[in-house]
Amino acid sequence: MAGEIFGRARVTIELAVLGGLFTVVPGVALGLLGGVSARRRGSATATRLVNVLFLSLPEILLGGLLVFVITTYVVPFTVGVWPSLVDDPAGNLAAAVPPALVLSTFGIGVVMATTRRAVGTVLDEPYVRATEIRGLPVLTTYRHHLWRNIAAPVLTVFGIYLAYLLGGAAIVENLFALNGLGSYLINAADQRDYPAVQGVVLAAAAAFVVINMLIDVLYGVIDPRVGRRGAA
Amino acid sequence: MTDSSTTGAPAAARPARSAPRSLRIPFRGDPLGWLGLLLLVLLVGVGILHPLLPLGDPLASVGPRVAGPSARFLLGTDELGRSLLPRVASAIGVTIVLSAIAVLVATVVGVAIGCCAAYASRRVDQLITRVTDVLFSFPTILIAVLVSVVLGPGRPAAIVAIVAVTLPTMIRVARAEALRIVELDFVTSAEVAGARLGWIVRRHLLPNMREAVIVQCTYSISLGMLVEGGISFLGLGVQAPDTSLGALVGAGRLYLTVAPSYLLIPGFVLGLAVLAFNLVGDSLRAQRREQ
Repeated sequence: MAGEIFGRARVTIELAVLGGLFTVVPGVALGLLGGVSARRRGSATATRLVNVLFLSLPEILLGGLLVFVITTYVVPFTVGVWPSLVDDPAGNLAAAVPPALVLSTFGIGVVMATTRRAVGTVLDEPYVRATEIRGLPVLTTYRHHLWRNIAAPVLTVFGIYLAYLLGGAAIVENLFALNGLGSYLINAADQRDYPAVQGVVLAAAAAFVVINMLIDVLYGVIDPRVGRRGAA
Repeated sequence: MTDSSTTGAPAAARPARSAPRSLRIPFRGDPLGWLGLLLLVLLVGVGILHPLLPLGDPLASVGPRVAGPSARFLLGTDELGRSLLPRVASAIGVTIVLSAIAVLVATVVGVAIGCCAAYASRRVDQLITRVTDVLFSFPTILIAVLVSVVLGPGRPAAIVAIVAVTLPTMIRVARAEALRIVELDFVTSAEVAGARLGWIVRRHLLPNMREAVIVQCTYSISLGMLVEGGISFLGLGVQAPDTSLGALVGAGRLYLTVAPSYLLIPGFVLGLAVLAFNLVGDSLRAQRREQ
């Protein structure tokens, strides 16, 4: 069973890493854009709509749509095969990108919302207003004050989402016929194979602990105060 | 969304218990909130009133198997030749009602635990917080699958799974609100005046928590519908002949190349329902922040 889990974990980990990448880049970008432009009413409404749309798109709809498009039309992506990343990187990506995209939509919504709120909070701070009054260029203000202050909350939700992806994306793996931890869990549940279910839960819990530890270390890098308080 | 005390006259008669202003005129000047409310009323209406509408019998075999939309069957037919229009309509109702029941349970339990955490000793509060963190850290689908394995597939499993997924956040919100309110001056003065705990909770704690809890409810219902969609899609939730949007998508996926509409239409409707609740929740939340 350990062999089975480790073998399948490779698929799940690759999906999680790719999905995490597809989550954090657009999520933070959209969140920054939304947060910075929030003072204008029209753009605030547009931002909220985009954000809610990302949070509302069901995996089973987007996944089903992608599978349909890939199997019906000629597109550079594949379903149902999973070449090794080492032997055939292009073929592997062709299989991994669509499910990773599906996994990222909800995460984009979560990361975007968190980034937006964090940006809003920071921009309302007196020290940011002070830089405005002093006539400093906007980008200088962002570079000095925005990055570090929004990094912590964004990192927190991103960590939770990554751990969630590592727990096995049962629905997406099922849709794209991938042999990851999620589909293993479903098979085990179907056959009342309780030790296998426990194994997957253990793996998911381990992934969660590791991710959280990494995030805690990163807090220290972003915000020196964290490390000092921990040492005291 | 709001109870009868929020509509004008009764609220004026009992000013002490009147609803917070933001909930009395919902979504003032916010098109997104109105759009959400419109979608919500439409979908809930169809979901609940579908037996009265001239849509056809959801269980009768009346047409060809797995056909796409046509003039006679607007949404097509399923693998047993049943018209999908009434099936989707009844599935909307099942999905929304299951999620709403589950969130109601999660809300009652979550608010009770949240209030306890605010008034209990530090140690009990920490225990509650830790247990919540542990629950929170489990991937949603993992919890749902575990529940379904333990209870066996069916409606109860779907409800319990949604409760398990939405409860931790609800406890967090309720606890944070309760802790904030308990510190306020009017609660302290009530305590000093010798008010009983139950009276303070009923009179001060619950009314002031209401806004935050209602906002959280809308998010929980939409998350619950996504969870129900997921586990029913995997065959672990609602079972035939009963149906839900997730179960329809799961069935439709087998005929994706023959009639893609079988998967895409229920999936789209599920997305609309989730969107409706999210829009309403987002609008309420945006208003709370503006105050």
